[in-house]
Amino acid sequence: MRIFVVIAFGVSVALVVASCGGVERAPYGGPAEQQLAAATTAVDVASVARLLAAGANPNQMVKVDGHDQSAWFLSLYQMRPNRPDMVEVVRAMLKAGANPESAWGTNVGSVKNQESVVRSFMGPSRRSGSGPDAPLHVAMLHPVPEVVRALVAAGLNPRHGQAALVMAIEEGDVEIAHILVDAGVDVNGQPGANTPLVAAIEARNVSLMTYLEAHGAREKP
Amino acid sequence: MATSDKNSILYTLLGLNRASRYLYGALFVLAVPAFLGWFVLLPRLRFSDADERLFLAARHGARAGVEQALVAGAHVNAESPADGKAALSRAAIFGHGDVVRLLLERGADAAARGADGRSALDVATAARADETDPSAARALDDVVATLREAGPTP
Repeated sequence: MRIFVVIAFGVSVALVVASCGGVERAPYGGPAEQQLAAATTAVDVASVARLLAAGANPNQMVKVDGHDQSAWFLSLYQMRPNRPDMVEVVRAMLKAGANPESAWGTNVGSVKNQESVVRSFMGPSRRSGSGPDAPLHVAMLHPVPEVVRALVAAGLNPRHGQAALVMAIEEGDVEIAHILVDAGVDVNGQPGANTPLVAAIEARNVSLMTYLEAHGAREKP
Repeated sequence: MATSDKNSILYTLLGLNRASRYLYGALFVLAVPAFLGWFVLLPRLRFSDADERLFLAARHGARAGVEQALVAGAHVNAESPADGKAALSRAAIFGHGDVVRLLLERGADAAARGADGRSALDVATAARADETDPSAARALDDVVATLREAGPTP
């Protein structure tokens, strides 16, 4: 009888450990990060480079307008197609160690404050990589090919690019679709209702459809 | 907690006698091939490589390719696992009138709807509304007329 108790205990411990895998704690920064966030909002490339060189961490969150935001998240969230300086900021942050899999911020509902009992005493946490708070998904709010290229070069996991690929195809953003496919994003993934191939068909984009077929896209994923 | 026999305590806890132990054991073992058959084998049978070639040819408006795929055993009404639409919808959205007619000749169902509830006619009509290029618009008009004729779908 005792052996079953031991086994049950071991299994439950293993389950808890497995369910905690990949969960990261919300990081919070200090005055240096506050300055970095301000410089990012002002799109001040020189100041951002100086603060990063001085050791400010772009991944850590500070209070901006009453919300927890990291400078890394702000740089992606405030990206617009006509802002080449912001692309420089993104590049500088990636070089200084910004996480290509995770951008902490609260504008897209990533960190739900105190929504559960666990969070009320452990603080906010979440899984990295996928979800609306992944850097690639934040970048896809205002898609700029240079940013996607920088994220891919910084070592983005191709498994986390499937939704962005479908989104780029639906928007007819050929360059971003090519960047993502070249980075190794699965052309037969089905992140939502559509596969990339079906998205290209629905958009009636023959050249993109042919490109996906050449990279192995099929009706049956 | 009397476990006089050498069997697992699970049986005792579940209140099973020897006959039901064999019955549930057999069910448990048979569940594996049943699971594999349902989730691996059946989907593969439902959409073959010939179907894949049929869809490819229909997308590109290749009449000869469609005929070859049908000879190779493709089902003319096969539904794509991706969105539940048939090859007719693929030909219709790109305005390939000759392929649409060929598929209808071979028994394609003009009233079939995809997972999003749209028929080939709906797809072609929406594509026609978006089209600005005159020759492509004419091709889509032709497809829409052909599909209207073929199916009584409103």
